[in-house]
Amino acid sequence: MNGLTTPDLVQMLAAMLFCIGMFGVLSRRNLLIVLMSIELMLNAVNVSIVGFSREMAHLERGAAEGGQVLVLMTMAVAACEVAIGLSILIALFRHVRSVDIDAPRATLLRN
Amino acid sequence: MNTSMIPLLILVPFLGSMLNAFFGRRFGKSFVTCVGVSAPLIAFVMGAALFGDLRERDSKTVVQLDPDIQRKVQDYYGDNAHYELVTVHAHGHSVERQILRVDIDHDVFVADALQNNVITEAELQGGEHGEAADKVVVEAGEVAPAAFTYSLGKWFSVGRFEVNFAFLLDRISILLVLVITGIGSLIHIYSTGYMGDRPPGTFARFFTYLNLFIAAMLVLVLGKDLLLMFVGWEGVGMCSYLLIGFDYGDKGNAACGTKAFVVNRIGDLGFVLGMLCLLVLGRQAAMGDLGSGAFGLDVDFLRTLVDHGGGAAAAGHDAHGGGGSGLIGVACLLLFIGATGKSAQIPLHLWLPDAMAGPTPVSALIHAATMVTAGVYMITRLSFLFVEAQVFGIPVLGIVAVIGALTAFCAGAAAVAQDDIKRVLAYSTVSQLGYMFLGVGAAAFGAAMFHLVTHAFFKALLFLGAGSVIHACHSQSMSKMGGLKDYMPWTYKTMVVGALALAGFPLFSGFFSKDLILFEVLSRANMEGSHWMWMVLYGLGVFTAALTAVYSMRLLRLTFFGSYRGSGHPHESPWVMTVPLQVLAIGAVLAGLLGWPVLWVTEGLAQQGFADWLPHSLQAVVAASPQSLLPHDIRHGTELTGLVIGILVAVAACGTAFFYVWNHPPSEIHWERPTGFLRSLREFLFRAWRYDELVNKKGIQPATKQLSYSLWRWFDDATLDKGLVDGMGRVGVELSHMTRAAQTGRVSSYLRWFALGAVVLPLLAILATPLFTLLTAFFAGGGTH
Amino acid sequence: MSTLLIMLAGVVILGAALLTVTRRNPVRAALCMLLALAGVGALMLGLRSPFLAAMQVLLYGGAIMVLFMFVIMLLTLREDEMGPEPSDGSKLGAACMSLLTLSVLWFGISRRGGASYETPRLGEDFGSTEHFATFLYTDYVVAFELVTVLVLGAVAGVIVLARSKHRTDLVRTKLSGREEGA
Repeated sequence: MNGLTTPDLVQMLAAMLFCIGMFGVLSRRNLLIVLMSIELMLNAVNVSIVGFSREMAHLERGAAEGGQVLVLMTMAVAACEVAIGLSILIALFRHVRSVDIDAPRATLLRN
Repeated sequence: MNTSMIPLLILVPFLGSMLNAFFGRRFGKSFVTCVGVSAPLIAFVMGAALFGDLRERDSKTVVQLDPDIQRKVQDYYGDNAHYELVTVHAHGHSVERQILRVDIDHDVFVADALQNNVITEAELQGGEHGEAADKVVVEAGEVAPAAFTYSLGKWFSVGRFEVNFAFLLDRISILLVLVITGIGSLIHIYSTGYMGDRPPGTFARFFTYLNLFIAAMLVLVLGKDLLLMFVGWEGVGMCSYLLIGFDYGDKGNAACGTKAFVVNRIGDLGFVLGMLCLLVLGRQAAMGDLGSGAFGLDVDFLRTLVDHGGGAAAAGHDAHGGGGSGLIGVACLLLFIGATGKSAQIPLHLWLPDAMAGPTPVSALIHAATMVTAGVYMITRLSFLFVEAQVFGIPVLGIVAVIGALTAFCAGAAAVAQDDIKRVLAYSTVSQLGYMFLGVGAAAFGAAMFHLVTHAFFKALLFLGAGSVIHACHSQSMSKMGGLKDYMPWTYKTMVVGALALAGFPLFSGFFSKDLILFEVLSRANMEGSHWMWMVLYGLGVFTAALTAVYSMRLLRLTFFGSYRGSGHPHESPWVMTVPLQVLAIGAVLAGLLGWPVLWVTEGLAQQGFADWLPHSLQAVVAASPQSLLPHDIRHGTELTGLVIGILVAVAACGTAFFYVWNHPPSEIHWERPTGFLRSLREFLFRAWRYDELVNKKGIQPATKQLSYSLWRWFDDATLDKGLVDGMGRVGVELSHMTRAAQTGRVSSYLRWFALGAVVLPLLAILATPLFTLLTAFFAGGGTH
Repeated sequence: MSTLLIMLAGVVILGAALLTVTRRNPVRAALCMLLALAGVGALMLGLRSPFLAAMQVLLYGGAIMVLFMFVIMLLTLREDEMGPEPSDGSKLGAACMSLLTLSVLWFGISRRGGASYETPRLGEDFGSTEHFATFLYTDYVVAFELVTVLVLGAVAGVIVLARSKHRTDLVRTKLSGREEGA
């Protein structure tokens, strides 16, 4: 692997983190863990953007800073999303008495 | 010279039929009678006029002498040469020749001429070569008998296959036209009496069908193209069905009509396949060297087919019967199967006895005189094909002869044991048709047609007479008849004439025609090659002649002699019915004149072509038979033998049957009330060799019961009901099950689909191109890197 | 120096993340996740974004994980309420998809060339709060305001969704001024 520089490593790290998060989403049935895995994926994206932003740090007109602002926005949105997600979980839990996403009484989405 | 009369021949009966169909009921029986009877009469008159025209044309045909020879003769003989055109019916040959007779004074010039080859061929009149002669005959050439063609234009063409609406009137077809229209007219007149007590609608319907039949039969006979002939073929089949099942109120009659039509149809399949074979041959030939490249089923075209393929066929005969000749054989065999169906030969003969369910005039017209002879006509029309045809080395005409003889024998035997008068006549018809096919099989086409004509007369006579009897006795069973000669004198007298003609009693017409056929068969037996087979056939023919005499005499005895065994008062039929009988009786006798054998006339008359006039006239149109090439003296000897045997057999059989066996009331005759072995024999023959039952058991029952059941089970039930209909439902249900599986309601599976669609696939899509190039480079190996 | 930090942080992140997705006990998973997020913060430090690192710790660590812990503790999950562990088949399928995605991403990454963090002009204040603020409140102020609205909406949504019907659970949240009963 010649020419594998640090920026590439950072991106690879972000990819790996993303995939770990995807693994968690697809395989776990506990809703809490699934939400956490989604957060991991978001973080991976954040890492990737920060990495790219660092690479472009020498550019004029604040192109790199744009990336950082985006990360901040992403974090804010993630926070909102977690809040809403958890309140949905609570609401669901009240009905079904379980955080299993495949719980029989939770499968209201089928025909 | 109005050849345009030819389509009129067909149109007039057809028009009559349509008029009766649409207006008959309204205008009453007299209208129907007028239209219905005058149509065939007018057609007959037109036919007679055309016949006269044909004869006139024949006499005017001129043959041109080769100009070289003409000049040489002129140089040699100068003013001593007198030219004269003479038509000589060459004795024993099948071709007419017109000969230019050159009169000269010295015979020494004859010898010189022969040596110098000035004259092409010399035939000296009344002397040997070198003797004093005063005539030298120069053969000018062959002349074809006159024929009229009338074309209404093209019917259709598919690619290079062309079919024309063309009619051909030559000696064969004019003969049949006269028979159809002439005897047809008599039967129409008779029918006005026979069907006179029917309601007007039925009366009109009857004459509609009768006229339609005449029209269709004329199409068959006049058609120049095989396909046009087939139109007539099918047309008469349909009319036969309509007429047999005329009184369809009785379901049995309708069933008989259906049986006739279905059996006919089976034969028609053979006909169609035969036509297809001929088309294949035609296409082969057309792609070869025949000029325009068009081909079809026209009779003239088929003739060129044979001429062209004749050389190749002759070459390929000793080999494996080459490509061309083999197919001709197959085609002819198939066409013969068609003839079998139409003309009621074994194995498709079973419809004719049941066809007697129709009214008697129908039986007379269709099943005695005309429709059933269509097969014979067709083969005669295509004689040039049939003489060349071989299947696996067996000549097709041989098969025809064997089947004809067998049919004649079996049907004749069956006729001896029947009780119903019409059934006797039906089996008799089958038997006589067998004779015609025997004649055709021996390549004696003229003899077969001669028998066709005489048979038409006496069989129609017999049927009409039987109709008269049935009308009087209200029964068809001979056991309820008897002693009618006192009650119905005219019927009796004419039926005697008919029966004697049928039996082949000397001097009646049937004798001459049957004798001619048997003579030809005997001549054929005298040639080398299949000698024994032809002898067997001849023996069969003679034995059947005896049988024919026996059953005809039996019929006469049981019907007219003794005492009346039925109930009621029989009386003679009205004149509309007896006059046609009388006319037919005269014809039954005089028709024999058309073909008196040569031995019985003087040489002079023979020279003028009086002997065997009809057969020989026809032979000029058809292909030659092998036995006609036998030397004269052998032919004479055979003819003598045949005549003697024929007379002996006919007289002896008639006499024995009439005066000895059936001279008692039926209750005393052993054959009528048989016991022991005779009983089972009579039973067997009564059921016509139990052929009908065989066909029913082996063919119809399995077909209707098993086959239909199987078809229902496998096709209708399994495929259509369960397969298609239920299957479509099942497909829908299964599909819905499959798609429903996608809606589990389980979030984890939804998440998986999410991941696939939202992450994996787009990534793959984005990176597809570089991925693709990478993959191809990877899989294509090192290549040109 | 920063490279070393990046490497270390990466290792920590990956290890903590793997632990997170494999723990059965949600509390343990949450704690591991906290570690992972902290690691991400450290990574951002190494990538010369101190402000973002602070925000990461504040938001993710301080708000989001706290929220998670709240809910976990609140629910007091029993064993049967937690749902079964993933079957081997599930794990295999998920691993396949993840690996597939990973390989595609890595392929894309490896096709890049010549990226480097050695930049000619890198001011001292890159990634600092002041530097960040100059851009946030000038070029990207609209996004800032919109996110504010979003947060407001999220708050409203949470209140509506998490309301209780029964008095015995959570205290009923009053939305209107009208009292029911006394």
